[in-house]
Amino acid sequence: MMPLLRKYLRFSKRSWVSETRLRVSTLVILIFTYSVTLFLIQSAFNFQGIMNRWGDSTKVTVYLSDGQTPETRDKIEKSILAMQETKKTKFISQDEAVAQFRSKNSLFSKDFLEDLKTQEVFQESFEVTLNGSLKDETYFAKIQETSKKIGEIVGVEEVSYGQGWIERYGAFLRVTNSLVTVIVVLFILASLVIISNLIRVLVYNQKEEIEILELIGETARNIRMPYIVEGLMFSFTAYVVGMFVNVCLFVWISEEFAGNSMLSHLAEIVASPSLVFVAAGLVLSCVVGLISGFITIRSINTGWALSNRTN
Amino acid sequence: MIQFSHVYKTFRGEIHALRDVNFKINKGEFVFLTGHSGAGKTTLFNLLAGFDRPSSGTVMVADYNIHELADSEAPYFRRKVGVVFQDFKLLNNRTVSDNLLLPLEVINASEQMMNEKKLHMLSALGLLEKENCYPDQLSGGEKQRLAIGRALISQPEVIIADEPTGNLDPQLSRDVMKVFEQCNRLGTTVFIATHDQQLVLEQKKRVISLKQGEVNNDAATA
Repeated sequence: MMPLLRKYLRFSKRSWVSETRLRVSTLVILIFTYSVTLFLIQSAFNFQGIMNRWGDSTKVTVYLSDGQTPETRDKIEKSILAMQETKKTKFISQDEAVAQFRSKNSLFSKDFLEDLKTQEVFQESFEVTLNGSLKDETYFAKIQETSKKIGEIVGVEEVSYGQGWIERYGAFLRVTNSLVTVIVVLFILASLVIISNLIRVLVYNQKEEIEILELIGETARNIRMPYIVEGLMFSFTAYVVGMFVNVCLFVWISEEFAGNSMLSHLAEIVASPSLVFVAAGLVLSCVVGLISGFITIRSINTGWALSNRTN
Repeated sequence: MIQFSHVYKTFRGEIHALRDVNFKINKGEFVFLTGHSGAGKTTLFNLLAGFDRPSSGTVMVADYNIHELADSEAPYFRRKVGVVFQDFKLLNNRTVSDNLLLPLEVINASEQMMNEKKLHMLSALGLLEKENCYPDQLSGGEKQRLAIGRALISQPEVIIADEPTGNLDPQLSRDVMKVFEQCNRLGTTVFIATHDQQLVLEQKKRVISLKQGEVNNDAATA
C-alpha cells in the first residue's frame, strides 16, 4: 500500500506542477457543479419539509346531522376514535364554528358577520386528525377510505377533507420527488463527464509516459491507479467544498428567516443538509470519481500501447 | 533463452515486416542484429521485448511465449528484459535520477536499494553530476547513456538495444559496448540491433543479418 501511495503522491505532485491551470479550472467547475446541485437538492428537500408540515396539519371535518344529543355525539366520537387510522378528534360546536368563521373572514362586513345565524348556516362537527402524513404516498388513499367509513356512521351528514387541495398537493409532492431524482441523475452524469474529461486530457498529455511505463514493465493496475485516485480526489474535494458552501448558505437562510416575523416559523424547517444526506453524498461523489477515472483510463491503457500504435 | 520459430509479422494485413524468421540464442550469448533500414530490425526488436506479438510463429524469450503472452503477464515479462530504445524514451518531466530508477520503482524496490544502485550506475555512466538535470538538459550521448543505465539497473536476464551507439562518437560507442560486455560477462544475454558495421566487426560476436524481413545470414564474425 505504501509504495502505491508514494507513487500516487509523486504522480500528483508532478501533475499539479505540469497541469496547474487545467486542474484548477476543472476543480472550480466541479465545485460549482456540486454546489449548485447540492443547493437544488437541499432546496427541494426543504420545500418538501415545508409542504409536509402543511400536510401534517390536514384534518378531516365530520359534519353531524341536526338534532344530535350529547350522548349521540359521544357515540359518534367513540366510533371515529375506534378506527385504526384516527389519531384524535376535536368537537366544534356551532358557536365555535361561527367564531372561527368570523376570525378567518374578518375582512367581510362587520354587519354581515354579526347577522350570521349559527343554526342556519353552521353545523356541529368533529375535526379528525389521522395517523401518518402526506409524505406517505398511501395517505391520500387512507383519507379517502377513512372518510368513507366515517360517512357511514349514523348521525354523520357529510365528511370533508379538502379533496381538491390534497390531490394537487399529492401531485406536487410527486413532481418534487421526480425533480430531485432528475437532479441527482444529472449531477452524476455531469460529474462523470467533467472528471472523465479531466482524466482524458491528463492521460492524453501523459500518453508518452504511460507508454514508457508499460514498456519497462509497470502493471496496468499501477498505471491506472493514480488516475483513478485522481478522479476520486477531485470528486471528493469538490463535494467537500460544495457541501461546505451549502451548509453555510442554508445556515444563513435559516437565520434570515428566523429574523423575519413573517417567515420565522419556516426557520426550523429550512435546515442544512442532514448527516445522512452528507454521508450519502460523500459516498456517491467518491463512487462517481472512481468510476469516471476507471472508465476513462481503462479505455486508454491497454498494456499494448506500442503494438496498438503500429498495427 | 531466445528462440524464433517460423515467425511472421504482418502490419495491416499487407506489409510483411518479418517472414519465416528462425534462430536460437542461448543464455549468456552476445548477438548483433544487422540489416538495412526497413529490413525488419525494429519489428524483430519489438517482438523480442514483448512490445508486440507475432502474426504467426513462436517467439520464446526467457521461457515466455510472446504469441501467447497474456495482458496480465506482459509487465512481468518486460521486467526480465532490459531495453535500450533508439529514441531513448526518457521522461522529460523527470530528472536523470528518476528516469534511471524507473525500473526499480516499478518493482517497488526499497529506497535504500534504489539509492545504492543509483549512485553506482550514475558513476559508471559518468552522469553523477547530472543527477538532478532533466533529459532536455543532456546531450545526445548523455541521453543514450542514461537510457542504457535504465535498461541495466534492474539486472535483467536479457538486454536488448536498438542502435545503442547511434548518437555516440566512436570513443563513447566503445565505452558503451564495454558496459554491455561487462553485463554479458556476468551472464546476461545481450542482443543489439545496429547498422554500424564497423562496431560489429570490432566486437567479433555472432551476427544475425536481416534482409527484407528474412534472416539473410547467421554467423560469428571472423
